[in-house]
Amino acid sequence: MLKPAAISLNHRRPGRLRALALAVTLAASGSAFADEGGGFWSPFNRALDAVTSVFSFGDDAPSESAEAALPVGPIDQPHPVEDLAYGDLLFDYYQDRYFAAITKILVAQERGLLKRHSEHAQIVLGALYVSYGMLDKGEAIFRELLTANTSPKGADEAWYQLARIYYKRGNTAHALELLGSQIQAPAEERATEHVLLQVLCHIRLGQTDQAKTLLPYLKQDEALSVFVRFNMGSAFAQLGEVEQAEGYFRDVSERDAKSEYDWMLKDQASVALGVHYLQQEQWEQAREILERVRLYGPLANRGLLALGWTYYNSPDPASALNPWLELAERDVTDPAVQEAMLNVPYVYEQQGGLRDALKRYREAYAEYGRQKEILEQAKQDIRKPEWIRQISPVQEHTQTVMGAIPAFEFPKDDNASRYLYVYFASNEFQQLYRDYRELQRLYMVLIHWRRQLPSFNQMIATNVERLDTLGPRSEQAIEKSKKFYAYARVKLEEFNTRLDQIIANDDLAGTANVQQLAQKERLEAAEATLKALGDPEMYEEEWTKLRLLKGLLIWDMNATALDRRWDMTKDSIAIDNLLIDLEDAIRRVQAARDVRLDRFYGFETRILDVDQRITGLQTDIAAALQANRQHLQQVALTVIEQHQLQLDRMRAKALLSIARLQDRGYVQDRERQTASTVRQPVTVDLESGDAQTVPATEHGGIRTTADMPVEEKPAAKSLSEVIKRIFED
Amino acid sequence: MKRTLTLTLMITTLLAALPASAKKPPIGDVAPDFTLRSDGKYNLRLSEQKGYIVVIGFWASWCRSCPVQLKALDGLGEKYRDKGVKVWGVTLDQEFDAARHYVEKHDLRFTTLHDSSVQVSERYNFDDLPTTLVVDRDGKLRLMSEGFNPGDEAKLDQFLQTLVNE
Amino acid sequence: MKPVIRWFNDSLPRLALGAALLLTLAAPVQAEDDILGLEDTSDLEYIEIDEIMAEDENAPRPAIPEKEKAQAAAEASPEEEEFVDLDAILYGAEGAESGTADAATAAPKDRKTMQQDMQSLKEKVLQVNRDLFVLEEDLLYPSSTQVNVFVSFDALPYFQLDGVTLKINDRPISNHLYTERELKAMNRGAVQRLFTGNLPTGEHELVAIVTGIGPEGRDYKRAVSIEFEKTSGTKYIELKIEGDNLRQQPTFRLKQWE
Repeated sequence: MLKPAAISLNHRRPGRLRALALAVTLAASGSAFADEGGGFWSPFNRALDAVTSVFSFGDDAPSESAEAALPVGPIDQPHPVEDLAYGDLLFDYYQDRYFAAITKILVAQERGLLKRHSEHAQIVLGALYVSYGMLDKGEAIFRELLTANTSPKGADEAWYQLARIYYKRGNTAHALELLGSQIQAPAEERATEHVLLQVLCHIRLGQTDQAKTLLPYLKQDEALSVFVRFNMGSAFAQLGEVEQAEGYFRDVSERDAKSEYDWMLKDQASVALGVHYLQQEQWEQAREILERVRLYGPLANRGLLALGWTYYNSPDPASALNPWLELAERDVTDPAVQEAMLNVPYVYEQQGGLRDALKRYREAYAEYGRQKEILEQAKQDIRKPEWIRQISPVQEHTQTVMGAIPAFEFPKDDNASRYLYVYFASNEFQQLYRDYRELQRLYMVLIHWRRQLPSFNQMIATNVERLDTLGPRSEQAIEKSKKFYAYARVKLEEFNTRLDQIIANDDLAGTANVQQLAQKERLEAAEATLKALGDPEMYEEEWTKLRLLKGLLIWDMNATALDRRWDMTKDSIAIDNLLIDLEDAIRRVQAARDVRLDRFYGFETRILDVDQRITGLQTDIAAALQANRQHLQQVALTVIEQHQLQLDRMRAKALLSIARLQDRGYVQDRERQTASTVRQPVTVDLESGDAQTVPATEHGGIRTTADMPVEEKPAAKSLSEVIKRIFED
Repeated sequence: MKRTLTLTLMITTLLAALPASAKKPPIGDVAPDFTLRSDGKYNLRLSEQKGYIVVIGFWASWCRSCPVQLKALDGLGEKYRDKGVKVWGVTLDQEFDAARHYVEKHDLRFTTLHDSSVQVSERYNFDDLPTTLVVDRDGKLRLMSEGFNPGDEAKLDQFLQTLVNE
Repeated sequence: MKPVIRWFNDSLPRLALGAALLLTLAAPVQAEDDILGLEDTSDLEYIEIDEIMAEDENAPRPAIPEKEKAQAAAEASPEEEEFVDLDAILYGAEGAESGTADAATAAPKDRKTMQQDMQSLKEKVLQVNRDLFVLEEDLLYPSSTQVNVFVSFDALPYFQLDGVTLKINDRPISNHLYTERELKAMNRGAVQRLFTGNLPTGEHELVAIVTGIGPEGRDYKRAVSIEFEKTSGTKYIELKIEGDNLRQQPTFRLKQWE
């Protein structure tokens, strides 16, 4: 693949690819292992997170590898949903909106809405906490689930998650113990992760044999298999079991890559294997395997450097110029490129092209000097806030409060960043970066809420204002109602007393209707008039009429009296009921008003409380941001200083080579003058300009002597050592 | 009164959302989100396209100056297909079938969406057809160009090249 | 006896009227949870009652105790933020912490302490975030008026959900088009909260209009409705889209949850 014909340049996202590139570069020395809780760019942890977690915060790896990651688990399997709130949180969770999902769980728990799914929700919450780096909270939840009356399946899941927590914390033995002793039969859908976590534990503990015995139990999943095989290879390599490692690496190297992540592992395995063959001085095998590394892939530079050595040790050492010249044209901030800049003139020198060699040595020397100055400036840049802003820009408009953490974007090529790629790709940086981003986001979450508070207060104020306006009217109404109630009660009492009298005295007038009363009044008036007239005999007829009418009226009144009494009794009861209702209503209105006032005061208290908490948290987060920032800057400065030291070494080597050539020229000149034909030894710079005196052979081969130049490191004793040094970070 | 208050709240909420529709969305801000029916199997939502550059062309089959834009978008869509660029043609035709027919007839290969109620167009508040938008990988509106003149295709091409390399 | 007789004949219905009127007046204020639903009682007339109570004297008008309502608002005023240099917090300040001396001499916390601090901060922010969500919901949608409509959708080989339109009392309240991502989530058991809003207590009608692609790829549109009573507690209604495998047809059901 290192042949230009097979250029595989991925245009999709150069920045991201560079990130991937350097992540792998870091691990390229043969191991993909990361420290516990390592950064998510490490292949090991990436795959661990991908496979052992259901989710991964802020993990913005290219989608191909995310798909390959197959995050599955019991919660991800369709299962009946019996609480709407649970289904609601799954809606966010299944769409990777984890922060929103956590919030929904916490709110639903607060409101008691997870009656039937509390266990499920706890498992989701615990797993989310773990993925969110809140291992202590996660552990507490799973421990609690285990002490509670949890279903066997829930308990198994809790044990599994606890093992995951311990693994992340680096407590590998404990994790392994839980997996082996507590989970009798892992759920079907969890089986792969279960075995994988065990394998990873064994690998980390160096128990490769145990890991090997478990491999057949892994489901035949391609992506997973490549990942596991690569790590098995790394584990064996670390243990010095080279033959075993070779098998795994070769297997990975020969597989078809379906994603960028596959390519990464393939390249990584190929470089590791190539280096191994170089160490064994198996040049042909090394070349064959190194040519599989992508020319523009993340490991291309290291691959090209190593490939050059395979050619250099071939019958045609000058052919090493092909890869090294290509490499020497690349970004000079890469140590591999810096080394190639010395290797090229070295080959020229070997081939007798002393003039070209000298020119190139001088160019390299000058370039190293320039880079040193650039690094000096970079150190100044790193100390500026602008540097932090550049690597972690917060855009208020695009920073969704509930969104994922923005992926680390490699900064534009500036002095500092170009040298910091390796640092940016390191686990340490990625962890710090994620924490820093998380802190920024937490701060922004608080700002979001702080901005809401005035509107909350405004809503309450508006309502209080309305209550203040409406209150007096209600008060008035209540007051009137009360008075009316008292008044009506008295009147009703009078009414009832009167009714009782009417009934007791059979008082027909008491039950007369308006018409009857009018008639009665008219008859009484007529009777009074007749009485005043006297002479009853004369008015006999009128008196008779009057009596008749009175009789009729009494008869009429008597006829309606019973109905009227009944109606009045009913009215009395109805009014009594109405008054009871009114009394009740008055009481409720009063209570409602009091409750509402309490509620307003309650809201205000709650708002004041959260306001104070927000203020406190903002201070704490600002302090944490500062601490984190200093750490980021400090480590970056250390990295730059290491680069400076490296450049110093390279400059010294270039200078020595120049001196050597000039000396040789001087000697040749002198010899020419003295007509001498004695052949001089040739200095060979095997490792990045490590000058060693090598007697010339017909192939320009490798010999070591200890009589040459100045180097801080002792001269390499074998090619293997040389190669090993090349790949040391 | 309860109703009045609820209504007031709704109006307030609407008003809060109004600036987006009352004026053009600012370049550099997150592009106003929308979901529209597409000629594919599923409806498409802009905010779900993060990680992709989305070029959105608003057009209609009755619009006389649209064909130039559509042809350009079609070409650019093919050119940048493998570089994380999606091209959407949002039609303002009343009938989706009319637009589909047009697309088929002119062999246009981009995804067609239907702004049936013109809500999306109103939210972006443009005055002219065709209009072209470019939304970057982070969902931010990076370009809004009304009309389509000769030379615009080259400009758009260059702009996309820059975005692809970002 | 005349007044008594008149009272008997005329006042009894007025007494009833007065009581009924006062009851009406009291009713709207009863919904104690409904802080947003304070009824305006200005339209109500008290004349009837005053007339009935001829002896009624002007009732004193007790005022609600003056609240310091603007206090909290003032305390959390947005201007406060202007005094905070957000950039300095997020990226650091020139000089103060970024000087060579500072960067070199500051004793950075060890990673373990920093990570523990992180965990603690995350937890606290999550808590305050939760409390604010609850507070916001309590303010915007008091339980006495809160109505939620959820949508669940089983994966069906013969129906693909396209969109749902909701109407309450013939008024459109929501119109949603589903994307593939949402459909996948729902097919795995997730339930979408499509609408949260306020409704007064009483009878209401919810109509859900569902569109999609039905059997044999045909456009599919169905409406389903439910009459429900909004009581004083939060109302939950779920639109369930399930399958009738026998008939190879989707079924739509509106279900009330307690």
